[in-house]
Amino acid sequence: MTEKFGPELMRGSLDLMVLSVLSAEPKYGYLIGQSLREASRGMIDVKAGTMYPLLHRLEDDKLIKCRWDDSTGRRRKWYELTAAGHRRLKQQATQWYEYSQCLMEMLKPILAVPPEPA
Amino acid sequence: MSKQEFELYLSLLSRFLRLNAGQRSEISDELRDHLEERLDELTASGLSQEAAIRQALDEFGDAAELATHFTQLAHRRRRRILMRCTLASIAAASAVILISFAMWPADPGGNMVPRVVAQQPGAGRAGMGSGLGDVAAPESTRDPQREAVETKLATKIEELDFDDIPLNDALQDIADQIELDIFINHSSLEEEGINGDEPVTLKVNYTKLSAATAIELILERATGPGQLTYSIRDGLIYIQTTEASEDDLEIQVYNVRDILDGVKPITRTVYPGISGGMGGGSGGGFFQIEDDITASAVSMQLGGAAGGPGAGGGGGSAMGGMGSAIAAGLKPVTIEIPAGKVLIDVITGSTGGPWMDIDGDGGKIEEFDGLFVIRQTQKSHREIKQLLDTLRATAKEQPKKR
Repeated sequence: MTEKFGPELMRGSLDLMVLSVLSAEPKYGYLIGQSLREASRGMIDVKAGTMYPLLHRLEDDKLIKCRWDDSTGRRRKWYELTAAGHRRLKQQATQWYEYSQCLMEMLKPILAVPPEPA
Repeated sequence: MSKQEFELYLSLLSRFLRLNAGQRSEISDELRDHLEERLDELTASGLSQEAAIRQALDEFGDAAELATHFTQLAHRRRRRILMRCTLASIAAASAVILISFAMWPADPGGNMVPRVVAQQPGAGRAGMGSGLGDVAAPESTRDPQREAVETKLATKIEELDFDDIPLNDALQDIADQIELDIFINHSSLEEEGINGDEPVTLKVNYTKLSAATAIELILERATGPGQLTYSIRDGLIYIQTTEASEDDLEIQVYNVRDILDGVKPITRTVYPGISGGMGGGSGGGFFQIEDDITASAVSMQLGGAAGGPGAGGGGGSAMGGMGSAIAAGLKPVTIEIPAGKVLIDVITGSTGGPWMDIDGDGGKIEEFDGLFVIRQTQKSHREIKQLLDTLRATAKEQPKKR
């Protein structure tokens, strides 16, 4: 029914989303995409072509670290948060929470208007 | 079948990657894992093999474009390593400076004031402001190339009149006026959704601004306060996001002996057997505590003023140790909190940081015999320099008596 969130909407927050799905346990790229889809009930669908450069950037920034696993027959790259990643996540989570609260307050009156009958 | 299509894509991508063989094969392995997992899922959901392959590949987009992203990342990494090397050489230079300073004969003004000194009543007020401005020592590590850029940044801009001009063009205009290259790190800016087209409107009629201020204003007009910052790198001006700049901390050494001399430590004169302390000299009008407080309260106050439980504890024990001496000699005693500690607090409290001690992340200040070794972003270093200049200027304005 509702459209998926567009890239321009997610631009500032995608890093944070990836960090947050990694906060509980290590995941590999495909699993991260899946977690994002599940957590957002399908609203957030990050293209693979966006996801992997993003993961590599976070890795460069030392917010996540990787480990290779060869046990499944295919080489698989697992990512997990570093201490800096945990810190960043916590900092930004607070900020984004406040931001979204502000936005909600602002948008409330607009959404309160009952939809016009078709 | 599937393998073939994927391998074709991966080898195409690999050819576009301007990376070494190891890096290329790691990227291929990671993406192959994704493609095959995605293929399994899509076919399980009922898609034909062929359609599933097409969709899995579609999700990665154009191989050349994806390769560009990866390559850019690797280049960014290489630049950082270069930066780190520069940082290491600055650190080494600082160490040399530190050592040579340490070899200097002791300052006649007497920097090495013991923490606890016996004094005549009221002596704490004497000598305030002595030696202020006498020290003309290097402010920080010297680098001729960098100084040349700083000089250009300090030059006044002749004309500043932007009416809805894109950020890129506005910066180019300044660059042309001061004949200095301004490099915009677009990939850093793009991460914040800034593409360089943001409009700048800025008109200054009567005041001639320095190029540095003009650049700061332009960045602020285009993207809002605190988003972008500039730094000096290899003889050019480098524009990047403030967040990215926080990864590039630089060490600079500041000689603050003159300020510390003028400021004086926070002092309290305490008389034995009397529950109230008497006022000692306070530093240059910057830092004071109320008179008429009990000896134990003194140490607490001092601890608070110096911003650390460690300092408070030090004050307390010094008091205890002095207790017997006081009882024996009945001499007034002055307790001092090192001015350096107080000045560090002033700096961390009035500049943006972030500071490790306050924000849990960011820069640090180490004090060494009147020198501050500060690790911070260039932006923060500019703020610190400005603050110290203001402190010096204010101290000079003040009459010697209080």
